[in-house]
Amino acid sequence: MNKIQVILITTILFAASFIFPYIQKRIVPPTKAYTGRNHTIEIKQMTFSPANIVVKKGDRIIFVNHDMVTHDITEAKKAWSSAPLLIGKSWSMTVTQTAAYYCSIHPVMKGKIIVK
Amino acid sequence: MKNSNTLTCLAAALTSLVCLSVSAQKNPSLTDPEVASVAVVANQIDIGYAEIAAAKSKNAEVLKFAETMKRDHTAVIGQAVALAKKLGVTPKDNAVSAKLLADAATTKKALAKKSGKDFDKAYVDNEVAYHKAVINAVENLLIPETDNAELKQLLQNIVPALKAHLGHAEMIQKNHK
Ligand SMILES: [Cu+2]
Repeated sequence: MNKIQVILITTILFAASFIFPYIQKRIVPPTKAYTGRNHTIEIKQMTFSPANIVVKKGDRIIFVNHDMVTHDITEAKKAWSSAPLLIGKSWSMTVTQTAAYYCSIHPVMKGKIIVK
Repeated sequence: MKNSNTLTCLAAALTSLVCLSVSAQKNPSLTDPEVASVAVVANQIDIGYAEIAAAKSKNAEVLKFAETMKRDHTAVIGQAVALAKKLGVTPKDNAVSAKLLADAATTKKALAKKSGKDFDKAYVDNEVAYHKAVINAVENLLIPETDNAELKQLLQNIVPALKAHLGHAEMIQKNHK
């Protein structure tokens, strides 16, 4: 390999290191990290609907109170909880793990979030 | 032959007896203003019981339940009154609401005499019995007697809350056995 060849290859590689990511960016859509989907759980007639929901870690769940009375969303062992959710209001959370929850105002109301 | 006659006779007698008792228990007929009054009074009575519990109980579970009763029944009254106003219906006293109030006065007196765990038990037992009676009255008397569709819908919407309250009261009843 002579000197000119070495310089040429080095130059090409050097240029490619800049051009390649640029081309890749233009052609291939960016593969972003999973940012999560939104899911809605409606509270009506004293039930969480759906009562069981399968989501991915990082998804967001929005609870909407469409009932006649105030409710809340409390993790089964009280690890987390919403504030009292008044009629017509909503509350959202980002899911980190599988959880059972209930309404601490009406303990017969129960639901499950399953992470898959 | 004689035997079968006796049997027929007995059957007829039984049937008429059943008919009689059914007609004796036949629901009173109520106008919509009267239905509205019964609905409001039934909710007020449970708020009254909850206030007694808030003053007398020292049990966290019972106190929390009483708080829920006061909050929910107040919300229901608010919605019933708002609907009555919208419909131009003025709640009207009647025999059913009067009977409810008279029975509640007796129960309140009995509750007032109790304290401590006896009170908690009496209050929770009464909540179970009262919610059962109110669910029965709403489903079998108030809803069938209501003419206005919106008032009927409101009453239908109240039933799940009453059933959740009953379930909650029964849950506490089990814990206190
Ligand atoms: Cu609730």
